Amino acid sequence: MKKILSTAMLIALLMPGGLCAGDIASQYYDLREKEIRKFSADLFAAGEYYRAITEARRYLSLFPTGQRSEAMAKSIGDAYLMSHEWAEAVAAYDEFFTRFPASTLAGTATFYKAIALLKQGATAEAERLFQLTLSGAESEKKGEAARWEILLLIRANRFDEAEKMLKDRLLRPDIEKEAGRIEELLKAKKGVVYKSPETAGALSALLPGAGQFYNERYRDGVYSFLLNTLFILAAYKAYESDNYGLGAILTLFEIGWYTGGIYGAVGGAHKVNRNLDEDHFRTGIRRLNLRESEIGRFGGVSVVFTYPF
Amino acid sequence: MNLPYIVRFLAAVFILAAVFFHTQAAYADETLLRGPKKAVRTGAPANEPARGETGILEEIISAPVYFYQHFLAHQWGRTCAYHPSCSNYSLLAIRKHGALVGAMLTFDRLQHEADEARTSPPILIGRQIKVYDPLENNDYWWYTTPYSKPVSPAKVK
Repeated sequence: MKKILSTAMLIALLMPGGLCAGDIASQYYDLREKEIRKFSADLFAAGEYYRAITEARRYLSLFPTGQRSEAMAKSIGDAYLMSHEWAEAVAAYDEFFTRFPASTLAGTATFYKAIALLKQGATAEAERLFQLTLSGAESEKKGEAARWEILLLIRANRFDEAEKMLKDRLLRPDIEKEAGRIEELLKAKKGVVYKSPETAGALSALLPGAGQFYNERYRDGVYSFLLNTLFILAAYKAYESDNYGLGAILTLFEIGWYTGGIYGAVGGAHKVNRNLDEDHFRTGIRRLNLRESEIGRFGGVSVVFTYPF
Repeated sequence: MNLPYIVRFLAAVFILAAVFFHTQAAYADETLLRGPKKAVRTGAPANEPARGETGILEEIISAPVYFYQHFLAHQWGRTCAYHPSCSNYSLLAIRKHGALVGAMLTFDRLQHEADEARTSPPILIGRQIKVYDPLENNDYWWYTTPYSKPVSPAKVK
């Protein structure tokens, strides 16, 4: 009887502990989850992006179905984006989409993936993703995506499409504030006068250096003209004095200067046009307030990401 | 030497602790952990591989450049203000585009040096600031790879 009593007493003593064990474990789980999430966010805010990525991965490994696992998975892409590691950012966002296809953060992640692609030079794919962000049900980045999309259309001189987007009634509320500026940008880009690579090449073929003058690269033009003149004269003199070996070498060099000059004139015109497009693009980024974007809102952190275009 | 077990155990603990504290004292490379944005990047990225196949014509065209690099460049004592240097640019162009186009690109580079500094970005190489004018800056408008997409065609007026 005594034994039964002492066993019952022991069970009665241990029971509350057993009942609380689940609660304690759950509390510890919550605490640990919050701790890692906060630490990752702190690292992110401090600019320790690689460490933040490690902590985010730790979170995903320990709490794959945690409350903030979506935000943590997205934060990996954000951290790579902040580090300007575009390819890694794209891969991290892809991983996020695979893991959480129906996430509420998908719109924002799509937008940032588009930015990473744009930086990588994959403009067509970035454009597609901006459109996807715009057609999505909900995204705080809709306005920004619309401005990027219009700016890309202006850069590619697709004015009709840009004007159509500007007049789109569904998009209008998102770009209402910048509509005037967009119109100004459109007008300015329409008025750009490009250099013709064909004209530059033809001019250099007719008179070495003339194509460079057309491209407003005057010093290059002078050098090209002088080099061609000197080598033609030297080759002529060499042939005149029956020095055919030297004449042949000088002729070879002259062919080089001549063809190189034509190539340079054509390439120079392309470079002028590229620089004009890029200058207008950069002005557009500045005027449409696209230089910076808030990123990494997980864990209450807000960091400004700048686009170094 | 027969030491008692307790002494052996304590010695092992002491050695392990020493190793542990020693490794703790070795600091991590903060620059690497912060991510590359914080690091100062110097040198040019290798964007795309060169063609890598050189025939006899390419060897012949490259020979004067090698001669210049090995025997003349040091004697003249001047370093090229551009990156890659004109001779390296020439070798890269020949390797990537073959002898004829490569030679043409070389002659173009030698002629367009004067005005390129106005438009091309500066780059820190060693302790020198140079003008960054890679091959991709001059062949982008006709030679494209999946990594180097062309800029949208410009409408000429």
